[in-house]
Amino acid sequence: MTRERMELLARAWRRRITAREVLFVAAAGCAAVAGAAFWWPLTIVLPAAFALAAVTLLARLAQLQPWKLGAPHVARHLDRAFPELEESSELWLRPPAALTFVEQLQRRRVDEVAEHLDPSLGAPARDFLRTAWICFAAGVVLLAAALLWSMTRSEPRGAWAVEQTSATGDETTQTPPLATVSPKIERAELAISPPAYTGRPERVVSGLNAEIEEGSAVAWSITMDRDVQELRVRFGSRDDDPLLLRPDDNRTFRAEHTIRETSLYSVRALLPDQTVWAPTELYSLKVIKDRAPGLKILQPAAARTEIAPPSAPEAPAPTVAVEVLISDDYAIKDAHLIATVAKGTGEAVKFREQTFPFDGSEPAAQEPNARRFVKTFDLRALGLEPGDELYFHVEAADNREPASNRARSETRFIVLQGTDQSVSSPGAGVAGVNLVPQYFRSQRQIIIDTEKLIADQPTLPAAEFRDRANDLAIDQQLLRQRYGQFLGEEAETHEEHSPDDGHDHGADMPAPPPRNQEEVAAQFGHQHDTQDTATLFDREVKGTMRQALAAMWEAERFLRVANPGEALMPENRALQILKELQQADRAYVQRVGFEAAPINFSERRLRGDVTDVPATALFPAPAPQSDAAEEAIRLALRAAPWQQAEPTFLAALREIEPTLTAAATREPEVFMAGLQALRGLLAGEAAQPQSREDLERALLRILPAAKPQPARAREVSPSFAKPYFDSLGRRDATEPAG
Amino acid sequence: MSFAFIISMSALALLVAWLEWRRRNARQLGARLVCSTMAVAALALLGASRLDDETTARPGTTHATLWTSDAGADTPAAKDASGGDLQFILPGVLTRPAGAITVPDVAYIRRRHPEIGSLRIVGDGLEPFDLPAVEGLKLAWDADGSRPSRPTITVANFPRLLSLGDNLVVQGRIEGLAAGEKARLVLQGPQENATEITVNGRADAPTPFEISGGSPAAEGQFVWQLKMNAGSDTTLLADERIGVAVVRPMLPRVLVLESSPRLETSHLRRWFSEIGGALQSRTLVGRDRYRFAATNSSGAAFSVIDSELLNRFDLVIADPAAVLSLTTAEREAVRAAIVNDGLGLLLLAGSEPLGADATDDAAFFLSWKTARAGDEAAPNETNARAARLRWPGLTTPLDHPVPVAPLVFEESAGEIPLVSDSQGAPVVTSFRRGRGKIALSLVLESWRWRLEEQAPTFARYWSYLLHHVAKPQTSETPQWRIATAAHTPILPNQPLSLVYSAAGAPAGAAEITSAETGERTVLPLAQDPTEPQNWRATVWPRHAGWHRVTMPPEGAEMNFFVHEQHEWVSLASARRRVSTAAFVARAQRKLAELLPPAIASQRRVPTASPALLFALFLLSAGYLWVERRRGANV
Repeated sequence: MTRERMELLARAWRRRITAREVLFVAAAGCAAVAGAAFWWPLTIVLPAAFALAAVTLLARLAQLQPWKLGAPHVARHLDRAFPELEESSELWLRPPAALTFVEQLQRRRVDEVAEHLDPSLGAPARDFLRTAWICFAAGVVLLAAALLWSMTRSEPRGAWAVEQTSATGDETTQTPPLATVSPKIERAELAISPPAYTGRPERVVSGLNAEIEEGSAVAWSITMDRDVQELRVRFGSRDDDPLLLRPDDNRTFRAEHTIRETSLYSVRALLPDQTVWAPTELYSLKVIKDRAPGLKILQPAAARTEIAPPSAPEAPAPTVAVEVLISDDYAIKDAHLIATVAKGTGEAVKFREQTFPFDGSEPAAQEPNARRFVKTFDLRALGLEPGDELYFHVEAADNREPASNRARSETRFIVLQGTDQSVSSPGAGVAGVNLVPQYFRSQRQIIIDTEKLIADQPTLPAAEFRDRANDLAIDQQLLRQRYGQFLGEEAETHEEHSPDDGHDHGADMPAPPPRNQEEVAAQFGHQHDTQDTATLFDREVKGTMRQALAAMWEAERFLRVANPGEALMPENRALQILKELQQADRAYVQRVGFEAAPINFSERRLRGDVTDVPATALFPAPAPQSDAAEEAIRLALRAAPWQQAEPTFLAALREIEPTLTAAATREPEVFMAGLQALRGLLAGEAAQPQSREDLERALLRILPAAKPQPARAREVSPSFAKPYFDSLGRRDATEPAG
Repeated sequence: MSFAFIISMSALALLVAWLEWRRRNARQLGARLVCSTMAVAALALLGASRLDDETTARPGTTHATLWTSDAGADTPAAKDASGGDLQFILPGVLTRPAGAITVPDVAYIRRRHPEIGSLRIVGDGLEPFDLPAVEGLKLAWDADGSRPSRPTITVANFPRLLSLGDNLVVQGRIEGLAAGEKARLVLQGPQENATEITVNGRADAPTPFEISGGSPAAEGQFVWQLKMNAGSDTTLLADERIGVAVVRPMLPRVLVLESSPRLETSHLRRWFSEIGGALQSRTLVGRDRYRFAATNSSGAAFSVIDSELLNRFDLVIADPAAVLSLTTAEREAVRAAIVNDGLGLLLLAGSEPLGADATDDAAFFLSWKTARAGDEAAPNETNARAARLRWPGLTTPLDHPVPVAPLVFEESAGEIPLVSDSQGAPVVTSFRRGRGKIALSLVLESWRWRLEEQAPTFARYWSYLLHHVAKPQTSETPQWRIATAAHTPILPNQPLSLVYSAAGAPAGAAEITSAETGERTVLPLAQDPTEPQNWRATVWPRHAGWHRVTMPPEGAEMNFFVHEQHEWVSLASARRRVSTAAFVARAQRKLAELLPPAIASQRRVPTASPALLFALFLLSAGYLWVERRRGANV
């Protein structure tokens, strides 16, 4: 053993002691960080723990002062550890020449003893640092566990984690790790090729958002700022079929896809180190739908148009001009008229439908994508007669492919006026059935003709006057006979004969055999009702009608004798009676309310048998159904501005994402910014004022409008109110109201 | 000079004189006694003059000028002021006269320059909380020089807490708008829904305005934007934010007592169920047979109406027959709940006048002065009349009329009309009865609104009615409120007085958290000596944005919005002008009353020069020392 050897031993001790202290302090620091990470974020805990550990280490080293450890300390250690050395280790520190004789003797002795001792005499033990290393390892394990826990607790970063909390809730397994270094999109272009039928040119837009025509082919060209192994475009929240982009090189990727619906998509990349880059940015492709053609009938403007019939057969045929303005996003492929002719009345009405092309078209002056189509209907060519109607509408189809958008206009009515409609209608007829409107008119016409005959009498020859009077009498007779049918009268063409009618009927002829079932039945029975009474009308109506027939008889008699002046009065009386009949058959409903006799409720109420009615019955009202997504939105809005959002509110934000995504897909211009802000929040980004407003606005738009609610007022100084009213006493309270 | 000071100095003088007296060497005893006393007196007067300077701080004769803002800096008065003795500038003022000193606040001037006797204020003036610092100075302020040169909003009142479903209404005044000049105000809500109004300037008064900004669809903290343009062009005159916290309203708990099933009650119950309110009803369906129904609460059947039951409700809705069917004890319980506890009672009238068959104890509820409307001779012609209702807050009567009982209220003292018809005749009116209210409604069938797809009108009508009749919120639930300037914008670096109301002492420590920075501040509360349930604190918000004050563990919390320093400048300026004008006028009045005698008393008591006193002390002490030395040598 020499002094040099002891210096080496001292250095070894210094290193070991320092290492031990460092390991113990590091272990304690790791444990402290692991514990503190449960309450505070790592960004605060780590620097604090480092600083504390540094201070502790310095303090400990200052206490131990290992740098002062030298050979004398080693010598004292040897003396303590090895009694065989007889407290003489310090002799090795002194130069042999400086030793006294006794010291030299003693040194020789301890040299001999030292040769028989352990070769590593005085060196630190091999397991000197074992405990320290164990503690340090335990601390590191604890810290790692805390870090893992902290990472799982903290908000997911990047779209990969968002995917794990997608709407389906399925945990994605075997997911590559997130990229630690994010690449950037250096350049992005969309080449948009609208469908050929639109006639729109191809165009290239910068960026990844665009408005495109329905069915457009979109070609992505994305250049990254660094090498990327694989690049995909992921539509919506689904990850089942992402679009893989073709690499031109390791940085530029291309892909084509036909877009028919408005879509949100994101970009994801697989980096060369097999990590995934999944930014939270969403991009939108808003599809401009091809709208169906718009039709506007300019002529005829009114829904129903009545046209006067031609006054004479040789007059020009009535026509109807139709003018239609048809507009479309791109072009009109087809337009035609569908017309229906309705002829006849009542149950005899017949319809005939025809399709007509337009006569021509021209571009509309005001609207760029519209054309004006014209067509002229010749009503006579269509076979319309007075009283008939023509209905038509327009159908148009645009040039959309593969299937056209079709549209039809409203229906227009063209009515060719009938001759009978120029005279005022007499009414609804008897009991609501329009039986014989023309007969009433004829009676009036007879009167008019009679008056005209009387007026013309001075100028007319006597023979012609008699003929015209006789003609009127015949008309009056026909009219009387038609009305007589309603009273069961026979036609006068079949006169009845009886044995006592005053003229010869020849030999008695045997009764003719019965000709039908009714006659056979009549032989063996008798009819209680006669034809005279077997009609729909009651006795009063029949009596009145008989009076009309009698008046007609009288008028006919005077007309037969060419005395129209006398006939005029019964004619008018017959017309008046007929009018009264019409009026008398109208239904009458009293239009005043029913007033019941007043009921004394106090006498009548609560007098029933109530034994089966329970004394008390409880009916809880059903609670309103709550919408989970709506509740989540309300919860998230309460937590705004989200800087200090708690986990429950973040869970609400996650719950909102599918709803907001659906809304953004529907109306990206309204909800896209809010969705971006939401995804940013979920990715752990700080809520910026603008993104906060975007998200707030989007969430508020999803919710239904607020309804008024009754809020209780706030009492001012409630502690004063009670003593005040107590001191007022009961006098005020017992005063009657008002 | 305090009494203790005089006593102590006198005692000191006596002690020194006694010591001299006791000396055995009696040579020059008289001179020694005089010098001893004189030295002590000189020392005492020297100290006393210094103490007087420090404690009384009497205004001196120095004139100073304080520049509070750039407004009015170019007026002749301000230019004259720039030549004063001392010039001070508050932070943020850009106008800088030569030699001006920037001071942090007014109190700094008083501390550092006690010699200032008069102060001229240039600009908008001082904040209300700064004004006490200039108490006792002779003040001058040119009010006209600081008036705005263009239209500005000088007053804006709005609720900081808005119940969900209520519209935000902002009321205010515009100054600087000439007569006939137009200004267009736009209030844009958080949902980008905007309301626009145009106001015309008045001749000699500020122009008032009122604009409604809709209601957000959910609770939360939202910011509205109030913009003002000149009517003729698009020049933006004001662009300010309004932060309002929308909170869930505390709904009244309603008890319905009806003598027969009514559609009105049925629809009211459905509506309460929709909004999550608690309503319990008891309906007489047969002799001694009742049907109970409850919404959103565990309401159970009850047999007796007593104070315990009524404590669970804030409002009772009943028809007169149901009131008459109550027992005397029950009626007394209802009466006591109204008078003592503030319970509200809403009576739904029928077609007949009330009070005809009321007994003495029912008269408290049913003695209403009503008369049959229309032709008295034919009372059975109609049982109802259609009326288009209106109430405060509606600019025009409702479009959809509802049947109203053919009765009219006769005028009564203390009557508070709540709802009227289009002619202005009340159809719902109320009276205060002790702490609570009793109201009578002549509206028969408001449920028709719901069937006519006018459910919002139904909700608005009943919300208004219940709000005004139901028992108000007291301190039964802990709550926060802002005590000072409760309806105006909160600006940073200004005191904000918060009040926490609770039945008992707060269990935890109140905290204010800034939503923007996350900074938390513990708020010490002081109990109000007059209202012990109130605990007050004053805070000075330093950051803009939303703040939340909480009181764990009860969870009572309140959000309030602090504006940026550059917002609502015109309003802050107007507030400074108003408070400064009032303070200066009061100070001048007080000075005119007190100054002459004060000046006279100052002239009567001449103050000795400190140098003279010090010299006197030196002479006396020097004589004593020399005399002692000579005595020793001898």
